[in-house]
Amino acid sequence: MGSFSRICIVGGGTAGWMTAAALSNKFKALGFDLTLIESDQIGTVGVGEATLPHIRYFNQALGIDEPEFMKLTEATFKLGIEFRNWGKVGDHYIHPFGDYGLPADDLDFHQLWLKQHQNGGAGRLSDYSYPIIAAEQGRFRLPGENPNEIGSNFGYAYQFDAGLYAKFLRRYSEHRGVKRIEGRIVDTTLDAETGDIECVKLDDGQTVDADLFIDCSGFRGLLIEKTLKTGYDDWSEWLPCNRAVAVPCESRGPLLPYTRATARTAGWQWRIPLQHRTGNGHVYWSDHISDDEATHQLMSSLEGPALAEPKQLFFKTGRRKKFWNRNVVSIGLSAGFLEPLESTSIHLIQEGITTLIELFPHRSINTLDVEEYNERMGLNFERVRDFLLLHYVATQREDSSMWRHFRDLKLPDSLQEKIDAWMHRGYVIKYEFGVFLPPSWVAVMLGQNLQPRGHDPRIDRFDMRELRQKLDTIRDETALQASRTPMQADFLKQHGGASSTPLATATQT
Amino acid sequence: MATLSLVNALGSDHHIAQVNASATPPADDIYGGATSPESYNFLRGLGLDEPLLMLEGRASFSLGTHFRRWRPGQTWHQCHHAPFPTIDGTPLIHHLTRSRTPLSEVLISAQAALAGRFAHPPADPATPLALAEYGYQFDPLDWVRLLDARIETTRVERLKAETITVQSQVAGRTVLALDDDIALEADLIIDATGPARTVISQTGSHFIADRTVNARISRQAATQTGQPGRVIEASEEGWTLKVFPQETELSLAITSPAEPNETLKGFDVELGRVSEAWQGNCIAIGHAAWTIEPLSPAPMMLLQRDIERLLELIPTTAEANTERREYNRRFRDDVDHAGLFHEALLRQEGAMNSAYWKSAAGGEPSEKLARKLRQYGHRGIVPRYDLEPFNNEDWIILLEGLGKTPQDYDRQADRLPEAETQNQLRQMKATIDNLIPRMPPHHIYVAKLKQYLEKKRHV
Repeated sequence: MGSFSRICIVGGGTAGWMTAAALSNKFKALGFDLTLIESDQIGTVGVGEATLPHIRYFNQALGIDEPEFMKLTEATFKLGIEFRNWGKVGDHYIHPFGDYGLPADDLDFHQLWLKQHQNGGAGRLSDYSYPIIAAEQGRFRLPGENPNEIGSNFGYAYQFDAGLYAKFLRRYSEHRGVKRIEGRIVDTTLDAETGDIECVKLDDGQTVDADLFIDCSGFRGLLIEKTLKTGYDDWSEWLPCNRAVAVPCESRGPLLPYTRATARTAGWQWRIPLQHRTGNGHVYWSDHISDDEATHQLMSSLEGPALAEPKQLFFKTGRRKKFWNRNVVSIGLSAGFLEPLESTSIHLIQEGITTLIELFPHRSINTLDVEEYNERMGLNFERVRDFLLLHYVATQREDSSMWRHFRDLKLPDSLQEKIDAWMHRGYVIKYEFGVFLPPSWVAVMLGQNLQPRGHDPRIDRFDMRELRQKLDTIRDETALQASRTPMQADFLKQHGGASSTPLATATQT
Repeated sequence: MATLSLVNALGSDHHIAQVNASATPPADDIYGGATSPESYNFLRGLGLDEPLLMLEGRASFSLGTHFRRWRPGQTWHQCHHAPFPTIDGTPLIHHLTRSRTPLSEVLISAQAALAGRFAHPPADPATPLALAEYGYQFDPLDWVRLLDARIETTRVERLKAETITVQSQVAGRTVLALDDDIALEADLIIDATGPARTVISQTGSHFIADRTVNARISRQAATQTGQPGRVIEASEEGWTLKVFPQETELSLAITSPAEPNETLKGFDVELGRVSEAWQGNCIAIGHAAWTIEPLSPAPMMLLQRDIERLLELIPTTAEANTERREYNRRFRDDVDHAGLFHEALLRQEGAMNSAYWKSAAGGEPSEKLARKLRQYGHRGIVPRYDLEPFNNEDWIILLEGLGKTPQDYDRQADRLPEAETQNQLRQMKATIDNLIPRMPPHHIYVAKLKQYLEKKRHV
């Protein structure tokens, strides 16, 4: 066994088992001693049931068979997120995973659309997006091989039961040598000289020592905060929602390949369709609504009977001041919390894991690795934060005290400049690092009625008739491709990912 | 290039005029005579496709820049290369570090350049040649002639003047005077006057000077086309660049500036950038906006970025505040990020103790570069910033060339037994070694390609 190879993961939710699975896969051959401590008495949060397309690379790297994974986690395919009532009450749009239309002479498609729209008669931008049209019709198939063709230039993710995903990864990890210890941590011992955590003590008296501890203990931050007092950057100033109530219910209607986020008076409500049930939750700002009222709003809008008692969650948006401190790396909710409006929770776990693997210490922890990890994860969190905040401020809603608060909010300069550039001419300020690419910004800004005043003047070289024809061709091809796409429930069966009984429930009307 | 790009990008309702002022000294030679692989599509968009460049532009191929005796014992080929392959899912560099194998041994484009050979990279990914990337070596005089001829066929109004001056500056709007008496107004003025900065310097944008160097240029005919890449050789006084377009050799010597009592040996160039490349209704591009030494293809890369940025931000209103702010932000990032690459080349321990080298290594070190150097030296990763002009491969080749060796590597590399890693690396090297002698010498390849293109043109 090499040096620096005793790893202890604290917490066995989605973050804990994703970390265990990835480390066991990457480092099993090196004889790592991987231990995961979890307690059945401590529940997991499991807010991350919806994912981003990057999750597929994570699963592929583990060698996971997609149909088997989907069957065992009750997963559905996801083509995007539908936002309801965000721009105005009654509005809705889908933020798709993929580009709109096709570029023309290297000009972004949305610029073609803008020109046509400003001259009247372009229809919805959504009509030029295959994943949106397919999603609206409840259809799904895998992308084709040529990413430059309509019907192939999209990505997809999953919606799954996070508890089942954790179980699935637990089997995977234990099969690769991860040792699971059932127990509750009651104490930690610090190295008097370095301040590192030497070992953790469990309620049954046993101790677990390790070279590196990975804190996946959720909001509590058992090691990163309770022991090391790392500190937390509070981002409530920008994203003030601080509570959620979650409940699963029976599914009704066709199995939809998208997550829904419906804006409410003091927050928003999620709907995540799985094969065996629908996940629901209401994220809200407690200054503007009581817990009882928030729960009432959620329970009274379920599509089917509730399958459990509603679960209350408390959180503070922000990030740990250091994601990696001494010999503790925080991954998941212990690292920070950003509301799951754009399904980033599991993505940020994935980013934490892949970055840790890339920077994994050799003989001892080097401050350069710690610096680099913290730098990269900080950027990830910040860029997600700005994108989430966009949803709250790109709105015309003033019908409640929460929406009026956002109307008057002074934005971070980086976001204000992005909005200004967009409003002026539909220009998206680009960056290279960060999860949300320009089409995502276009989707939200246009979806929430931020109509640019101008457009890229290079589009003016196109004759209007030529432009019209180009757009019509793309829209017709998009509709055609979508109409040839099977319904998601049928595709799941054909793909081998359907679980045995739930589909019958899910397709009931 | 900017004129043609504007003609192509904008509809005919935009009136475009190009003013050539004979009193503005041309400074195109300090672009360095080489493009990077990223320029391929850009040049094609201007109508400068490869057949034209070969047949009428006297271009040759460039696999990179060979640095000779940059410091004692430092000789390497700063080649263009596609993303490095991975071994067992782990980046190549970590396996090389682990097995102490020099990077250059497994770089097809470096080895081909050292052997003076060239062939187009094939589409078949099974051959290592598919990983080679190339730009062009050229004589700016030839390309100016080609561009000029193309512009003649467009709607561009061409004006000639002895001098261009700024006639007035009112509310951020510049009006030009040609030969001191003909007023020229425009919604947008592109200053491409090189280091003279004829217009931008009058708008309130000031030049942030780094240092001054002396540049001395010479051209001589060659009996055959030279190397498939530029050569830079350091000396006590500075360094000399040699560029090998078809049957020509261009030489550019960069030294410290001439002393006041010294005979003028070339011309002095102030290095640095303007504070705002877009000021009022004037946008400076190329050497009018920044001047950096042609140690890499950065000058041509930055020029291309200037033009692309300009096209993306052609203003939609007279005020253009949004466009100006964004243009200047991207301009600063691009120039600063390209500057990091050159800073790494120039700010080194063991630099010669002469005026040029002391000046080149002076100034405030950049924290962004320091982070790259720290991380690379530690474990072979190069932190990246948004939309940098130089890619990961460029940086790794540079840092290896400068003799910086990572102390550690990605532990995932340990999954493969060391003997297997070494075996795979040996195979990579052997494949390259077998392939190189079968590639034609650069001058023969260029000559045969031209014959082929000529024939094709007349079919």
